[in-house]
Amino acid sequence: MLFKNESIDINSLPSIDLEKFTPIEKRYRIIMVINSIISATIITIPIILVSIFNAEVPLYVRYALSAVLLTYIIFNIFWSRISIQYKSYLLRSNDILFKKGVIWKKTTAIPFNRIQHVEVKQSAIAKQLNLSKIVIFTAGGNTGDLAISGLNDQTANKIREFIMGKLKDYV
Amino acid sequence: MYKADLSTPRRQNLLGLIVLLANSIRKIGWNILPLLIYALIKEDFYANNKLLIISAICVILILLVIHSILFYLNFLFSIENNDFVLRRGYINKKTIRIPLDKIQTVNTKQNLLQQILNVVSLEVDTAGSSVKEVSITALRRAEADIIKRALIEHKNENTDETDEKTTDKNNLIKLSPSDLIKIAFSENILKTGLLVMLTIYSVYSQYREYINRYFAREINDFENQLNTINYTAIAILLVLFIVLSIVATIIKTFIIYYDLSLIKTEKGFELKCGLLNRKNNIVPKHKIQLLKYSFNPIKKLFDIVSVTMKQASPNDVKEKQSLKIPGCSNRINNSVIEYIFESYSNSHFTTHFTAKYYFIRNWIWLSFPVAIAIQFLPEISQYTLAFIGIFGWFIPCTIAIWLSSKKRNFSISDDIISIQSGSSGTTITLIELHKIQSVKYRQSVFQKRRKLASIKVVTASESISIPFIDQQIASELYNYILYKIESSNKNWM
Repeated sequence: MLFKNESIDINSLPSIDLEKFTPIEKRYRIIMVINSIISATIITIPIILVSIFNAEVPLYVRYALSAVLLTYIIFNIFWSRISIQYKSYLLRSNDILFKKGVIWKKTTAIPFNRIQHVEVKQSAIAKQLNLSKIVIFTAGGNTGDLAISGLNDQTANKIREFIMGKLKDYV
Repeated sequence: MYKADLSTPRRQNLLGLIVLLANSIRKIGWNILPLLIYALIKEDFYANNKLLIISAICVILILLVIHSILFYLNFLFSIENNDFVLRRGYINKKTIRIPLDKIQTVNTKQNLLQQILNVVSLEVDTAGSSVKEVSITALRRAEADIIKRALIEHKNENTDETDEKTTDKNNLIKLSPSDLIKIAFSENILKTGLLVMLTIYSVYSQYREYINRYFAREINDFENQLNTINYTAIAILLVLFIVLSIVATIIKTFIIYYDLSLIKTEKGFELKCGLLNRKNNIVPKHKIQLLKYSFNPIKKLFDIVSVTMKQASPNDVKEKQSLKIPGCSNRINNSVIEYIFESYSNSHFTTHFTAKYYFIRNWIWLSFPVAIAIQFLPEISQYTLAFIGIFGWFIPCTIAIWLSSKKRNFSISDDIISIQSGSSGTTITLIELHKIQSVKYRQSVFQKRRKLASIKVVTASESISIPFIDQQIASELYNYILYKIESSNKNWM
């Protein structure tokens, strides 16, 4: 037991262990893979350019390089399949929770009365897939902010409306 | 009492012209100093180009004077419709408008020149990082006080009779020079010493050429002495280093904390300190997000704890937004805590300790990189390497990790959480539960096997983790913190 408290019973508090989280859209996997390909290419662009324009780079280095790149992308395709199952969110009457992580699991909770503002963002690729990202800002800076990607366009906007409605109650 | 009309735009004190000029000369001066030194040291350069150098300096000075005058004339501030308005700039005109209730703190500062001219500079900090900090360079003390009051206590503008009661003020801490020396001895002397050495070395390497030329013989002698292993020389160097560290720490402590006084006001605290730059911070207590106090064995001996009170702040100005008291007695620390955390004295704390596995995890994190790094070292001498590795790194680190995992714990009461950490010293962080912004529950698969979890609490000034506690306790803590935040109607700011 955490500690004794006369006025409230710790065990009667709403507990996150018992509640059902909603998973994010499975389509989001496409974006996860595309993102990993983009980031892998950005990192390796200098090396690729050097090996293209410099004839002295031995052939086996080029093969090794492409093999590493390919393995990374293939790994990401498989990994995204697993990791997406662990990304889920839960909207309760007073707070929003987001779960993620396969090996290092993390559940972030933000009470509505600590939210500064809410944004819905959409990248060009996400727009094609009808996906949006909701970003929730608190006064806690970067560590206190929460971004949930891979939501249906309408769901993201609905959540935003819901939170904004709640925010009005607190001011 | 003289009441200033703040609603019409006004300029700062005329003496601000001098301060502005001095500031810009200093700014430019630092940038061209290496160039200047170079010009003076390089043989013949100065003699040949005397006229050019002097006229260049004159032109720069004249430009700076014109800049200062224009800047001064175009710098206007006022309070309009509950906004603090600042107009500045002569080429790029800029108007900064800050709603009064967004203002976090208003501090006054005095550097040496301002102390001579008897003016203060006023700095306004906001909660958002988007608005750049705003400062007015020169105001008379009385005027600054009025503006400060108008900015901070704007809500009580109608009932401003109460702030005349200065006798009510309760002087909590006043540090005398002997206190400061005691504090300096209990600080991390070696750290300051190493920093000083580093600074000296970087200056030396920058101007090596010239120093080598002027002190060639001395350096040669010194190097000759070093080449023959001489134990007395090593001992002398060590003593010299320690003395240097102590002197540097004392000087540093005096410059920052000279004549520090902490006054308990009706709404919060007022802190004054500094030798060359005197600053004066007023912080309402409800804006304090967390309080940290720490001590080490030496501090315990002198009955000193150092206390830091942190306010809400965006990431980039963290240091600025805290009130730091380098040393006070335990009794005063307690009264500060009881003043900020009203329920502290009659709350019951239950303490929970960190699991042993925290030590093992950190120890693995430490030993793996070192074990791998050793493999890549050239084979100098296996035995020396092992000796240095074990006694210089492994054993001290293991002790430090063991201490830190043993000290790490948290205590919780109805409204307050207190988190203890540290290895050689001890730091205790106190947070009121309703000031927490968000909570994170973390559990790795390795932790899950041992039924452990970690919690991270994020406040507006810092985020603090509570690692490796029982998973049952962790989820109860998580739920309880959320319940406390959501059910509280107290404002966090």
